[in-house]
Amino acid sequence: MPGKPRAIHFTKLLALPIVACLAAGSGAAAAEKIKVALALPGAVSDKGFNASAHAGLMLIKKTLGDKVEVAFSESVKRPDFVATLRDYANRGYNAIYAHGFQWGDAIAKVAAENPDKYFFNTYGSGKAKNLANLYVSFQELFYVTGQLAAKLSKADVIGAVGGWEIPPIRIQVDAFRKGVQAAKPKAKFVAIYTGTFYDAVKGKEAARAVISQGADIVAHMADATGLGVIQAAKEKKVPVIGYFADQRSLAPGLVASSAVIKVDDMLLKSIRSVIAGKFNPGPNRFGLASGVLEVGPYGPMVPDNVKAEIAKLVADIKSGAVKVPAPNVPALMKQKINKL
Amino acid sequence: MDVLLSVLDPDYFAATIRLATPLLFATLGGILNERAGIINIGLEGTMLMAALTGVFGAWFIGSPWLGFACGVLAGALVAWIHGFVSISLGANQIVSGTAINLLGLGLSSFLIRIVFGLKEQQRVVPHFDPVSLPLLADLPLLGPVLFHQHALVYVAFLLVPVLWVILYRTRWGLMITAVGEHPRAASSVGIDPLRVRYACTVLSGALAGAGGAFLSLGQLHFFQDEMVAGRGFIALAALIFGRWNPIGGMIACLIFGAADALQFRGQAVGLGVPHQFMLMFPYVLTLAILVVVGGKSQGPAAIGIPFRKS
Repeated sequence: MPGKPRAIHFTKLLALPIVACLAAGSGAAAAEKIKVALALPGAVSDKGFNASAHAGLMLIKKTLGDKVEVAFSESVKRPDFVATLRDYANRGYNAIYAHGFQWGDAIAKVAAENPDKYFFNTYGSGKAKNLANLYVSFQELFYVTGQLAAKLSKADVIGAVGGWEIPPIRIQVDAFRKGVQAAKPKAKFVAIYTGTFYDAVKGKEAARAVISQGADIVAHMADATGLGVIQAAKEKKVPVIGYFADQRSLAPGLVASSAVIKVDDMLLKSIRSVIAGKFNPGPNRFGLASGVLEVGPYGPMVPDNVKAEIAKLVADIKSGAVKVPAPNVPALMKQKINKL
Repeated sequence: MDVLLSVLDPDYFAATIRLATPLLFATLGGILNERAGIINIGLEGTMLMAALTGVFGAWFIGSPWLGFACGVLAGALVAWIHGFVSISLGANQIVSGTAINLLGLGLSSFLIRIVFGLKEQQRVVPHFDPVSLPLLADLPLLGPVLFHQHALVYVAFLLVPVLWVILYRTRWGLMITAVGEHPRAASSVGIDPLRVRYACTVLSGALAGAGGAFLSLGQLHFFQDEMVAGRGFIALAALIFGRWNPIGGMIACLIFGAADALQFRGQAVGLGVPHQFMLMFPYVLTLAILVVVGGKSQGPAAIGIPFRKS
């Protein structure tokens, strides 16, 4: 999610930006070692936005082993953005990542100062010759999960619970809605925004409200708030579509599938582009075809014919036979939420 | 009109009561504490610690009731810290309460990770399920709303008249009020203000703890970081709106619960109102009510002032 405006975490006060040098400093042997740094706006323990990028760094370290040295700073506050990135550049880090669109200006500035180094910004829009902006094409995945939900609904009422109404969440909910309509034009779609990513009790009430409107399948796009959605689905025995990771373990037998977003894979792919000498400045989009997005493992209620239909849809999107257009974000944000 | 009717189904009223209950526990606690002259803005942190301890208790002992008891005890313990700092040491009560909130946020996240671990944090523990009261639950309309709720809901609403009687009809209540209004005068007639304040603070923590444990054991069935999400502060608003009176506090909590439940249903049925308005509705309503009725509401005279024996 491009920098969710999360409420102030007081826990962050305790976790002042820590720089953790994770690789042992035996760099003398490997001459061509890439030094990878990651700067995060929040704590890595959030099980969502920040954790996903941290997992990417760990994946890079695990996969590339001796070829890289990694470090990260968490809970970096806005006034420290430039200083943090500049510090990494000065200390010889040559692949520097910043997580979230809010870093755009800071990273473009530091990238221009260090033309010999590679910079990456997830969801960012800053411009520099050595800056790559990494985007996840959410609309492709949520279009598919929307179709899946519509195909599984018997009552033809499909529900969704979103977190804060920020662009990525709007994109996801909107793509989901389009998927629902593509599969069942007459189906009713009920969406609620909770305005929070960490109030699971609210998520549960929101899901109950959706279910009381007749929805017999509910998707969530709301991190920890969504944990409450899954809890409500469990109580009402309504199938649910998980978010970010395979969430089957949270409600065994009731999770129809999950919208799996592998930010870790995206970071690994991007660092590999540097190693292969194929660094691509400007926007880099990762959709279903890249493997960064994935329809998660199915639950027992999904019949084989639906699985086959979804597999075909995914293959068609990958091949380009079915196009899911990128959303026009300003127009989307203006659109009324429940006007379908 | 149809839309409005579809909002006001029995489930809506049931949701109202569900959402009001944790607020009510905390509000009653806050009322008791403030009437004795101690501000407790640490309700939020107290609830969070109790929500966590309730989950631990229920998991390790295997009973929701004993888990709930653990939560109540944890709340009392956290409030005792507040009492020690602000009563015995005479420190600023706002600062102490803020410290409790910060402590609760950090410590609860820390402990859940130590004990359950990051991966298994959302472990579902033995919890409360709605109980149908015999005969009453079969009543049309009212039955499912009022008499098919968690046992703790009945406890919370029964506490309202109990606390009211204690405060307004017993000697204890008189003592508490005296200590809150003029501790020196109370002291001169043989009441020990420090003891009364300690007792009220610890009991208040226990009540806030009940609210926190209700959130985790009654609503979510697991613990999530920051799950109290500001309800402790809303309880503070409710007690002022209720003018430090348990019945007023209950009405405030019900209004707040109703507004909160309305915003989700309003969004779900598409009332045609921008959802941002729906999201802020409970808070706007609280503000509006405070503006309308707040003029005359006045707290205990000696609130926030440490008492020292001369």
